[in-house]
Amino acid sequence: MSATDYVLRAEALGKKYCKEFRRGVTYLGFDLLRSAIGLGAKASLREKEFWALSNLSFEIRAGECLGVIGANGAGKSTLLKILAGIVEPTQGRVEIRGRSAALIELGAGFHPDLTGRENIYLGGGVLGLKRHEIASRFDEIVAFADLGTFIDSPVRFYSTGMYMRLGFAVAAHCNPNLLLIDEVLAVGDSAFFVKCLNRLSVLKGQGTAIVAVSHDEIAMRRVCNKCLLLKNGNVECLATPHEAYQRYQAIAQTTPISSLNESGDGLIRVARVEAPESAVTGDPLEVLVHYEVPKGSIEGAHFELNAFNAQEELVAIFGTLSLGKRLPTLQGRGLLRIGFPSVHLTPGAYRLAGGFVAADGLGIHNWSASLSRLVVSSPLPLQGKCWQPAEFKIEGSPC
Amino acid sequence: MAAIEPDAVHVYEPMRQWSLGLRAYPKMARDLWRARDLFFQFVRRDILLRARTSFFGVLWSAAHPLGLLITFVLLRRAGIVNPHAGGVEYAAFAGLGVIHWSLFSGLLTQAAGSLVGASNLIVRARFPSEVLVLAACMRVLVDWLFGLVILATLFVWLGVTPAWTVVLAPLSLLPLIFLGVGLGLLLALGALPLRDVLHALPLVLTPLLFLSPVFYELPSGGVWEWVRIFNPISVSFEALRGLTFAGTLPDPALFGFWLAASVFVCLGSWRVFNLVIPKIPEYAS
Repeated sequence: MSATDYVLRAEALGKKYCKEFRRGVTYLGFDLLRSAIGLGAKASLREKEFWALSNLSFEIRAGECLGVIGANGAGKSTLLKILAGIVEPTQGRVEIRGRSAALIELGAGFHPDLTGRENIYLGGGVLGLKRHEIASRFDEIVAFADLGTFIDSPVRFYSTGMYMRLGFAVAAHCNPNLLLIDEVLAVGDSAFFVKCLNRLSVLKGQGTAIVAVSHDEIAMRRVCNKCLLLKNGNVECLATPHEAYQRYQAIAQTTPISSLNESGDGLIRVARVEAPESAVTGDPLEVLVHYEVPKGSIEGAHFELNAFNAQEELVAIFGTLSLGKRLPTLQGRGLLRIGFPSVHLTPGAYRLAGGFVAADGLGIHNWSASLSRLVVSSPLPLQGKCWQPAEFKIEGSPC
Repeated sequence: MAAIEPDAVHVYEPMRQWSLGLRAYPKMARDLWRARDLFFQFVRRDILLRARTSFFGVLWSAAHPLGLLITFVLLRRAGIVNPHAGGVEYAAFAGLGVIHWSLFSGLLTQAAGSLVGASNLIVRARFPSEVLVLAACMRVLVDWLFGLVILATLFVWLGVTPAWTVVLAPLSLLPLIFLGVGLGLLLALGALPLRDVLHALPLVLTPLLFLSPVFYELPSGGVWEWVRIFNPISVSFEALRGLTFAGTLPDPALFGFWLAASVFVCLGSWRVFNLVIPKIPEYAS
């Protein structure tokens, strides 16, 4: 491959936004006037302006897939909109060789009153396809979207899943040199998800370069060759998906919890929580909760615990309620001991939220959004959201 | 995968359009030509939607001008107004005026709203947004053609025979069309961040209707002479009526000036549109 064999090249990209709409429109007016007399837009930050992205450089070659990850507000969507040519960068330059198709939101060009068939032509046209090009791929698109007889119904009668399937099908069949996808891997049911991943892998094989933004770690690890981790608009790292996610989790661990964020009717108080800061997948774990019932006694209460991963996804719910059990009558001060025979969480940083729930399972006595943090590690290269111990045997021979 | 065409390198950088100067026009024209398929898709979509979501469809476009025409004919019969019609059957005179006034005001109104109605498309996809404005203008032209059919019926009914020069009449509309499309592009652009444009438009169009020779000939002399010269609608309408009824050609100097001016406005607006539109998705919602 020669040095110019890239599909997308971004050099020192930067994007400035204004937090206030009216002020932003005023600044736009000034910038346009300045440009008209040859001065160009103002480069420095003005009041209420901030850099949503700064100094971003990278390159993607044919058949590569770059994942863009980071917390909310890190600049992922802004980056994708710049790459799609929808938003103009404030600084730097993007060069794209060939046709690009962007799926910023599924079904961007669709109109609710037109049928699926008519919308395929419209959506394809917006993505830059000619009518005859769409016609030649029409059957493939319809087969991929799997809409059956609904293809001739107005899309306003479609379920969200059907709408999204049609949107992905159109974009994935316009054979672009560069495909930009924003948060669309998490759509549809699991069968369609697998279909999407397979289609992406076919496109990669045909030489399409892909830039994907998603919170879905599993999908990203499967599809991407490398990942760009953004933090507050800056590049934190550009590495293999594994390294980038490790770094992402490390950042999540060091981000301070804003407050204990407690709520509830206060009939039970949590005085202190003793929990280890780290654990190993498969090992036992114990969490101790020191509580106090200020007045009288509480009967039949529950204790619930939720685990959230670094992407703030709820990955596990455990407690007496889900086990169909209740706590005994609680009175005065006491200690609740929660034992886990083995940790089934995969390596990563987790936030534990939890508290005492009333006997009816609805009322909350005490709830803390951040009881403690837990960093799970493992000597094994475990992936996915949970660990399921398993044995693999070939009938008749030892493994 | 589609092979990479040699000229298919897209560069996005700050204020890229500004650096091109006059060289921008060939590029703009090329981009627009490449988007012709999309243009027809939008026109098709608009026509399909109107047919599907309303019972009377294209008839609605004729309802407003016909209503105005009937009102003025009745007012004239009752002696409340006594407009000058230059010796032509009044209903034919005013009918010709009102159909073409609808063309001009329709171009402005439909173009102004065309991007606002499609802002979810503009913030999510990259394509020459002019096609949305042009598709809206095309819809107005279709309505105008329908209006012409009604007008022809009216002429037959009234027994009015146009002069042979009527075949040249469409040329007299060129200043109106260029001006309508040009100003429409600017209005569409302005209405995206600021809806005030849509609210203010009728405030301008209504006085303009009465300062133009739509339902009557403008009085001559004094300040009206200036209105006749500096109101491009007046210039177009006088040319149109001359060609349709009297068989006279328009004043070449005045008409030529307004034709050139309207082409200039149209091309200038297109360039401004092209310069500003990359900034808009940030401010449109």
